[in-house]
Amino acid sequence: MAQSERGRNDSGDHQYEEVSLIGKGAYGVVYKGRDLKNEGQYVAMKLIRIQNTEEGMPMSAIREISLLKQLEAYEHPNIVRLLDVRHTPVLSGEIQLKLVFEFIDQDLTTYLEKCPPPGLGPDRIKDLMYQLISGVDFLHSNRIIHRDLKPQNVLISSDGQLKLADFGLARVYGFQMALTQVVVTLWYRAPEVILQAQYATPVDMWSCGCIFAELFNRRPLLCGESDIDQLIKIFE
Amino acid sequence: MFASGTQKRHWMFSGAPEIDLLRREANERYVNAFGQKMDSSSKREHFLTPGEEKLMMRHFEFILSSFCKKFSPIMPKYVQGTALTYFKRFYIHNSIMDFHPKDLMLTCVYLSCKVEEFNVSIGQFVGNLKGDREKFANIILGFELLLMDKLHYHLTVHNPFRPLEGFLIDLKTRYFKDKPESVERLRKNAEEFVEKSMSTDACLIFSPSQLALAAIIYSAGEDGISLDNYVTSVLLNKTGPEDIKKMVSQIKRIKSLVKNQEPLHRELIGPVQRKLENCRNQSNNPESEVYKRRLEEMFEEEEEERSRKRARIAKEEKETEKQLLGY
Repeated sequence: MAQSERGRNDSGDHQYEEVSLIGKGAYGVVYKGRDLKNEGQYVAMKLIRIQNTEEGMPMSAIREISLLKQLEAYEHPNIVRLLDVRHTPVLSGEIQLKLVFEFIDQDLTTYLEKCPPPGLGPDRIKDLMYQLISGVDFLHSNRIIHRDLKPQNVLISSDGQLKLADFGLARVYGFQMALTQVVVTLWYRAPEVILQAQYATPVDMWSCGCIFAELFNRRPLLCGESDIDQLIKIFE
Repeated sequence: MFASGTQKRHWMFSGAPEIDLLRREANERYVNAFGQKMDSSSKREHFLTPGEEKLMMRHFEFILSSFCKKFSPIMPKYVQGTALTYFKRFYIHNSIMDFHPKDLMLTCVYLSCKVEEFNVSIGQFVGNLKGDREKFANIILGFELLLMDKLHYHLTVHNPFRPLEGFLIDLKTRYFKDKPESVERLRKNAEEFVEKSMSTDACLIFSPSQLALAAIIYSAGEDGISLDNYVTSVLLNKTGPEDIKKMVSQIKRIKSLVKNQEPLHRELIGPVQRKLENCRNQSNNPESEVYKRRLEEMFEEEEEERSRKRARIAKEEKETEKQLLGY
């Protein structure tokens, strides 16, 4: 009875094995892994360590995960698939959360590096930008600011589909929420962020603009070396 | 949004028969696992039947609701709604005998407070309980991760309260334009209807907006007002007759589900509760020796794992040293 599958774990039976380290960030570690129960399918596993407080799991983390799950149910074509959420039993005051994403081995940086001269044609750029904006639009209509859009977390699948990844810093876009500064990598950072002014969804559009230029030039548009330098480059 | 979220996709069922079937399966799984050597008559005597499980669920749903109503500071209704939804979802695939509802009930409310951003500390939370508060805090925190896992982190719940507010505003602005104050009179009965619906499985079968609409239609009916015209020519004025028919039958289903609830047979609760004490899974009972021993073992394992790691690192360091020294 197909209906009775409802309410069971939507992600099914899995067993993950770490293969190699992909990257380290402030939030945790990312591994390339395989799902042994599903023909060794490759996955990307993001391991996050959360301090388990006297209050249990922090509210912000719980809300973040339920938001990711909520977005996932929509299966937007330009958002990287979240396949599974796991936690490993912990005792010494920490919880290890494992977020399992689909594995896409190419980001926009590599894609552009591999692209032979004279670079991408206008049609390809148009298509990529359309997909990028669709993904960002989806996030914004769900009250999320990505805040860290850059070619490193824009992924390109082998069939040319663009997917946004790494919402590690995304928060629900609420009005009363004090948004923290210093989140966007310098080169793609909007002036209002650098100036520590109030900011909202337009900061992602700024990053999109920087990426747009990069698709043509195949090098970053504004490579500031410091906050001040970045501002000078913007206003030059 | 409800239409694209986890609630519609993973936690809506076709009706009471489907839910009952799943709960019966959960009951069977437990009985088969723990009663391997028993014959069927002693199984019946020892374990809870699906009917008895249902009785326990309803009893603890009632306790959960009264706990929320008496909560200090005053708890918004949607926190209670979300907690009840977690509770009902949890016991679709898990037997009451496996996890005692008195433990899970508190964990559901605590998790709901966090997800709905109703800020209370664990100290404040257990302050609403009588008895050993530290013990309660440990139980809640001990089950928090398990609960989230069993709910597959589908924690966003859409309650009927918000669409109900929407219907009230819509009625004021589009239907009773000349006497908007009369709409407020519908609020009390409608809210009561929604609350009554929370003691059924309605939230697992119907969308929150359908429940809210049924509530407002019911309340208007009590007041001698018919909202048929509002529904067909204002709310659904671009909808085809087929869909209107479907909607009307859904509203009828909701009304009969909410109004024809069997009364809770309180006299039966005591004996079933005592039966539960004997057949519950002791390894999930925070007060049992088995549970405490398992926790200790996990600690020890972690300790062993750590010392293994230390030994490995020490060995690796030695190897590198050797290489550096050119042995």
